[in-house]
Amino acid sequence: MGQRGAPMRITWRDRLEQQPEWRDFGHWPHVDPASLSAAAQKKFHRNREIIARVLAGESMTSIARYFRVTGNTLTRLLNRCLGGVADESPTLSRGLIPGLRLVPSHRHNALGRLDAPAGAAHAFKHLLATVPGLEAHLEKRLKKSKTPSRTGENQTPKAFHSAFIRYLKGLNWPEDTYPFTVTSRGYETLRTYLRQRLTALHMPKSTTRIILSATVTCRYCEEVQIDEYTVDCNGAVTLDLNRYLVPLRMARIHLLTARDVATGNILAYTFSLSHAPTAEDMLDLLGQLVTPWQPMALSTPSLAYPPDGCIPTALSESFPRVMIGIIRLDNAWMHLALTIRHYICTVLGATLNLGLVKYPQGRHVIEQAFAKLNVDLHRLPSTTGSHPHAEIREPDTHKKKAPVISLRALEEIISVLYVDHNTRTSGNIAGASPLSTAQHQMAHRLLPLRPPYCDDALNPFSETRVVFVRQNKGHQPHIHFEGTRYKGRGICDADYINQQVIIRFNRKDLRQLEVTTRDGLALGSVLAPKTWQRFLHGMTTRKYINQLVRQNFIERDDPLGGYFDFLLDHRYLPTQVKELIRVSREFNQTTILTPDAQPNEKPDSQSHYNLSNEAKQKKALKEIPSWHPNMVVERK
Amino acid sequence: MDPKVSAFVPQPFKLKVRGYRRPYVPDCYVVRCGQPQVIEIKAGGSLDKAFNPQVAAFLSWYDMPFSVVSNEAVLAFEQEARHWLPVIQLLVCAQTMGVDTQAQEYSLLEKMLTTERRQVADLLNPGLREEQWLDEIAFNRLLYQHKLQVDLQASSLQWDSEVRLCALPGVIA
Repeated sequence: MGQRGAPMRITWRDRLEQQPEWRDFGHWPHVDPASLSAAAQKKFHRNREIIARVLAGESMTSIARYFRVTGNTLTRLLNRCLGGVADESPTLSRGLIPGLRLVPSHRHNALGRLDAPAGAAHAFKHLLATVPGLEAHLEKRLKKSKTPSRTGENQTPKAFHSAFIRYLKGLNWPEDTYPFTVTSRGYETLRTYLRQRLTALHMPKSTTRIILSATVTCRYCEEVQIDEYTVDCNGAVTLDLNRYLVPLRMARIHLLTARDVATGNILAYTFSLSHAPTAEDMLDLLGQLVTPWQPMALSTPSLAYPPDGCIPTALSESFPRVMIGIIRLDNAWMHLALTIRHYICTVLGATLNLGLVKYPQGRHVIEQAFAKLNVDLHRLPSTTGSHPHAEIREPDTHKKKAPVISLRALEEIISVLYVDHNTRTSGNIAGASPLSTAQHQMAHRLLPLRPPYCDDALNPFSETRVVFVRQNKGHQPHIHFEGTRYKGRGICDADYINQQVIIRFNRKDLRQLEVTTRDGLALGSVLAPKTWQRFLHGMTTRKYINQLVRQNFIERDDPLGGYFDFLLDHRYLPTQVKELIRVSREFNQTTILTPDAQPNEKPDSQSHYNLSNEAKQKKALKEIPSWHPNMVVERK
Repeated sequence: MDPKVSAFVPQPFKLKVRGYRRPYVPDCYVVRCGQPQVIEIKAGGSLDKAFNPQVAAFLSWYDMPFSVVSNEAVLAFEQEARHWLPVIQLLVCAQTMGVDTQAQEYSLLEKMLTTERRQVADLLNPGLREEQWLDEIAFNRLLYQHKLQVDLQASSLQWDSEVRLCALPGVIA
């Protein structure tokens, strides 16, 4: 260490002793002479030759004589290239460039006064270094302006310069020295300083931590990526009102897909007709991973599955039993639901990986699947394209009418495209198809399999909850669940009043619950009120209806009918049409008929529909008849 | 896989640290040889200088050593952990179902006693996956108990993986 606090500087000879690798001029970094000016190139080549000869061991005196320079010049050049601070790396080839400033310049003399002028070179830097608190004051203003704030200020050069002058005046800075001795009072210097510091502060920080692993996934179902996607195409449905067919435009549906990373197989897919995909849709998809795939009954003309094409779970009985290692999802709120996490981690025994926030690259396999799907979906005329300004986007003039493509046809197209993808050969997997790769792995690799007799335990919609049995004066004991009182013979016992019991229910059918005591004694089933038993309905529908009842949109007396009327009233809203379809499909699954329900009827021929008489049609459309689920006719 | 670890809980609890607005959630809680430990996984393996001693002092009050492990150190074992994952998954599934495989375990060990080295395909039949599920569970249990050994650092468990018999305590009749 030289002076107190100052770093130790060494000469070129000391450097070569400490770091002998620099004796080999071939190890020095390369500088492109073409980037220098013509005059600088000449001197650069001379300097380079001098250094090469010195490092080769030639005498300094002979080199100085040959190049007609003094010994001091040689020494200065060598110290410029190899000397310097002992702990820092030498400048090496950069020192050969003539005129290049290697050390940040600073002011040597004191600031001039009016009676003893000394120039203003590097005067601002001198002020920053010597005036107490000036640099911190200016830096504070800069950092404050970096983050937008309601009470902040957008920093301008004029304001910044004014703050600088105010600070100096506050310290009683003498008026006969810099910056008060120049006309601009250092304005240009401050403006340059402001621009440089703001650029540095706004520079994005580069991350250095390792986020993703470098391992390659090669086993079937070792990693499965799942994501949701809003289909880039609008569909249509037809409403049967008093035997008048009303075509209606639907909002875009959501598609949930699971894809295997190692083989590229599409493992499962499901459509969501809710406003946004819900936990139930995700559970439906997860349930499909462990059940054999059933092909759709295709009704669209000329549409057919490829021969021998399927989803892998339909290949054999072993395929639905393959244990999934890691399931990768994004950080959507739905994925954080306890039911989802319980099913993935506890029931399936898989590892849940939610990845980093706003980082879709971690799930590039599933994102690629959606991109491939768009190639064909964008051929349809009612497509929305990839962005609002896409050329293929459906024009606004067409949006007044319902699209030609029906919801059913759209679902069938997507199903066929996914199966076709599984049968196509891919370069990623050595020219084989995803399906054949999965079959090969099942035959030749030791894939972990679930036991062959636990299908009931894998039902994603079966849940249990602990509830209390309550009784109001003069009424039958009941269980309060999801806004409804369930009653049954099994809980009509004084021993169970105000006691906890366990209920087991199906999320997709809330009409009845199975009750057991905490000790495991079965108490039978309890039923929802008759008004809730008319049609099969799930948790999502029950919650929607309860919300509308609380907001007084529908009456509590007939919740299911009132909800359907509400949807019909709003049938011209594309989002409500989607909900109408979802509810009608749900209600159509009802197995118990009540006396009030209409028998299931389907329109048998077109002649029943009067399309030419406009007056009659308008009258019929105004009168909303008694509803039944078959009002919604899916066009085939 | 560390046989001394008997319990592992990710993000076990939430702590409020003085001087920090947001609560702190450690990454994992591990019980090794009966001693609970709290581990934080951080890039570069370093935590805030003011933060670390507070958390360590609080947890030491409850006899739980606190340590910081770097991302790189964890990812170095990722390959081996992913090879062990299907073994652990099967064992958890079997434990949930309450499956007893003692007889199958003895049978596998007897097979191994005849020769020191075998392949997995010699112990389990690749063509009888559905019928021999209990045997597969027994095999995985012996792996987990370190009575049988397979090298899972380089590759996952395959039919041609070499199986070795570890030293058994006592004598098998």
